Amino acid sequence: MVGTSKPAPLNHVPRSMTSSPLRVSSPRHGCPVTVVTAVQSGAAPLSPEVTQTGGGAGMKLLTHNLLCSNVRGLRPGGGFPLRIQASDVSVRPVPFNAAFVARLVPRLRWGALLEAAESLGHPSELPPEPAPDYEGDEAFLRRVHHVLLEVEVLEGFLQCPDSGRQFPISRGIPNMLLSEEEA
Amino acid sequence: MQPPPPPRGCRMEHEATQLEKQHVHSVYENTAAYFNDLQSKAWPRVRNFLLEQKPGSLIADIGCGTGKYLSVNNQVYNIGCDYCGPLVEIARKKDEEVLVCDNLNLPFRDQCFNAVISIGVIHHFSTKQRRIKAIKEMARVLIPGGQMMIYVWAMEQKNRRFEKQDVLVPWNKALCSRHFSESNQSGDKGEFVHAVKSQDIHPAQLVISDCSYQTNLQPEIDSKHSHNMDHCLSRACCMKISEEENRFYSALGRSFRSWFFSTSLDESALRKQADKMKPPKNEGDWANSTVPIQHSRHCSLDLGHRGTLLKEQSLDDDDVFVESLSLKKTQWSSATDALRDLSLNGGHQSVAQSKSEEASCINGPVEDRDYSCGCNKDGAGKSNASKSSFKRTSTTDSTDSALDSAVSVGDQTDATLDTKAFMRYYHVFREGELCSLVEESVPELQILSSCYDHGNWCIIAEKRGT
Repeated sequence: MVGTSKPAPLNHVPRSMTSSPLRVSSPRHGCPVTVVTAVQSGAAPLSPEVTQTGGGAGMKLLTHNLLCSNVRGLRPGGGFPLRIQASDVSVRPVPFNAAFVARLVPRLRWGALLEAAESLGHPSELPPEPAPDYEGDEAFLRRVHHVLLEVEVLEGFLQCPDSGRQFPISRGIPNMLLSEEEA
Repeated sequence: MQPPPPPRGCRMEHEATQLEKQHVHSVYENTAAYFNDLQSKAWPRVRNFLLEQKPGSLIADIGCGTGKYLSVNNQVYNIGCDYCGPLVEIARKKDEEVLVCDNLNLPFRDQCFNAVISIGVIHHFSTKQRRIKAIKEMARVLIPGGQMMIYVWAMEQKNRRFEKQDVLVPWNKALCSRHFSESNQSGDKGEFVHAVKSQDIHPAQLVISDCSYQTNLQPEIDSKHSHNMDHCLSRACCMKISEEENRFYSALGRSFRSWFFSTSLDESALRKQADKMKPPKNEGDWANSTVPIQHSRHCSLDLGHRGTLLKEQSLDDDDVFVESLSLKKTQWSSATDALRDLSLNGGHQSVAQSKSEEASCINGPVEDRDYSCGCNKDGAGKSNASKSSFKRTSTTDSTDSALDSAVSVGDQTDATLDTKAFMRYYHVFREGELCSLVEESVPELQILSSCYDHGNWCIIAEKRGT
């Protein structure tokens, strides 16, 4: 079940991002498209509304990389990564700190990061795996910095891949509370 | 007709969640607007713990409230989470990375944080099992070698004495109005004022909430000592009362101790209660029962470093689970009357005399069915006080049935909210109790240090493993 979306025209792309065609990703397992748009063949792919300044802070993809579904009874690992269904995404510059980013890289679930970035219409131009010498590669670190810290989800849902349960994100705040029955 | 009651374990868990819903979550939600970070600085030890973390660390503040610790160290990535949506909204507006979740079921993958802090949170869980679960969840998300800092409210306090470990503490608005006027508010101020205006507070009801002065995790309310925790009542706010009333209530607040409602929701206590209510299968059961039937002064089940659960119960505990628990309105009114008498007769002078640490004068009116309001007999120096309808009730006679008090406060939800006497539930920790809890039940953590800090027990523990 894909959350309802408002298809929106592509807004100004932040200058730190090279212009690249937006792609709607197809998740691996043939599940419904997670990007909150309807894609018809031949139609230009739509993206979640991207605003330059945003309406305040939103969930960063670094946070998303740590989040998993806590629904009871999932298969092992079945709660990660949460599928992002965003209807409002904002991009805000954050001061770049190479050392900081370099330290974060080994902590990340890399595949989930790439998938998340793509699902937001922010393909990260990142390699499938970090190169062994990533620490010294500033261009690489800047791209990591961008997707981790500068892209924020203001409104939308996080969907548990195993159970399908959707956790709302409102005003930039994910709500991961379960009902008493679910817990 | 009534459906059969759920099995005991589920029922206790349900009771616990209900108690916390009523006396933790609901209170924070309703009072969130009054929290103001300007008044609550970060505790130095917590600050230091955060500042010592390596740059690039991932740190979680579980129970972050309005997020005051999330901006201490900008060399690390801080995530805050809290059960209370309104508090999290406030943190989000300050640009902190936050989410809403349950400490008992953290939505984070295993071993992802370098450090975790839990400041003034665990003491809101109403059973030992839940407290353990909360700590275990935090340990789960810690990387091996990562450290956790936990702060909980201590039973041992410098200027007051908790007679029981499980207490309901009213939220004292009057003490906050002073602070409120001194503070620079953000744009939220409009909301506060609006909220206040819409309240209709009966003076008598004020007395209950105000004279139950509580929490400061420090001996007295003093604007110099402003590093309080968010749950400190002095944070809360903003009532429009006259200056004179304000001064009186402040004085009253400083002198009076907190209302105590005591019981423990611990499973063994509940089992014993439930057992007692059922007819024994045979007489031998009682004879062989491990529960000595004797009055216990404290009736608390956790004896911390003593390591054993003391299963003493007062006989009066039998009706903890009686369904028709109800807070006798008369008890509340007689308490307010008594206190009002005290105040109107200039009794605050005698009240002031009862500043002694000795047993606080106020054992909540609902602690004992037959009981209106306790009074420190030492405070009877002035004639006014001695004429009041206070009477001393010894704790040995008191019905250790705060659960029914708590529940009955719950029954009167509307009345309670009307009085603005939001009652927050705390399990205050004895010395060594937190350590024992971790040592016995959370083997994945190794305690590195523990100390007493401004009325709190604090530990730092490390996740075992390489």
